[in-house]
Amino acid sequence: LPDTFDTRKQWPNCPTISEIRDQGSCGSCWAFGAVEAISDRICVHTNAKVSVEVSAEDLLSCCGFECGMGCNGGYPSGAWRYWTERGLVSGGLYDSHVGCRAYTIPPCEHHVNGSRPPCTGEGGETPRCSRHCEPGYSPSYKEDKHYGITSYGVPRSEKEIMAEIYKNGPVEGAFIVYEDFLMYKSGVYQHVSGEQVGGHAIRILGWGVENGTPYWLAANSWNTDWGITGFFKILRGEDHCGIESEIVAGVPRMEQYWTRV
Amino acid sequence: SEDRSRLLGAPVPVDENDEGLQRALQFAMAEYNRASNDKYSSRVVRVISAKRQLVSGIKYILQVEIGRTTCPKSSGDLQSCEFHDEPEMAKYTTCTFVVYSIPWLNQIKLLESKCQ
Repeated sequence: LPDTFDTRKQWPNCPTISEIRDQGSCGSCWAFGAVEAISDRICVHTNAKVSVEVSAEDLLSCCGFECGMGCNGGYPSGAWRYWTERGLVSGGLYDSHVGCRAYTIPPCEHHVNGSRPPCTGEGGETPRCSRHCEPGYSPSYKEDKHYGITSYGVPRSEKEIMAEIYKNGPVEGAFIVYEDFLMYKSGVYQHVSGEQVGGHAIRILGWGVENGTPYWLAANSWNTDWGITGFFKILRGEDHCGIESEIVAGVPRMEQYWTRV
Repeated sequence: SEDRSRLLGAPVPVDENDEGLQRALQFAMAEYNRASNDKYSSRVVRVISAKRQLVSGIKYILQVEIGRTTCPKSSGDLQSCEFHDEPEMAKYTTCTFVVYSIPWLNQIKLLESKCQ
């Protein structure tokens, strides 16, 4: 395995690897980490013949008890299993009208005359499970489903996680967020101060070494004005904040893409 | 290898003295007083429950009992204001506030304010 590995450079024709999303005022990190890595893996496994933004909305709103509590928290392992059992349709960012079911919870407006809607009224309730694509989109909801063939937890081992990313693409991970993480701007994050805020799921898309410190390269779902344009680096190899202990991944079912690959 | 013990992104109870929580509560009360038609300011009597949730930012979900003080709206420091004790002037209410804070953008908003 190389000392540095960035899936964005390894698979430059897979644009979803570089994409940052925004979960808004909903506790849907578990769904975002999953659909981001699933989107990346569909592209990786089809040699960039199929590039799709898998819908966070579909997973968040339709998975139900198997995934947890929707906007009130969920389980990454349940999310990936749902992909293998029920499949997930396509769907882009809020208001993008991309794919079958785009995200319906707005990012919070914070610029004067900015491009985002104001975050009033949206209490962060779980959206309704609608088994229809938005008007004007074809194919049908059922035809638009993408399936996984298998999903699995990756052992709590730095090398095994690296091998998984190297072979199959980004994974979903989780860790404990402390207050100092919210103000992260650059460098390799290591928890120093602040209270524990809660468990958080993210996507891990590579690794490297910065000034002698090994790190995981990860994507958050807090829009591009957080961290390094939405990305961050976190200490690797010491299960820092539990980052190596809850890695989940899976492999796409390939039959559905045969006509395209 | 599956860990289903922990919901990720769930609201969790937060200590009443937590700094962020206190800021959220102060903000919620300021907004509440600004929006009310009452001649007097209200302030928190007690916190019934307080939760914190990690979203794109932090959401504080607060249930509090508030009471009408003897201080008119114009007065500054509410903490020293006494509550009305005459029955016809006293007013106690239970409220649910949801405050959404995005610390890295220095943003705070009251998403929900419901009082019975």
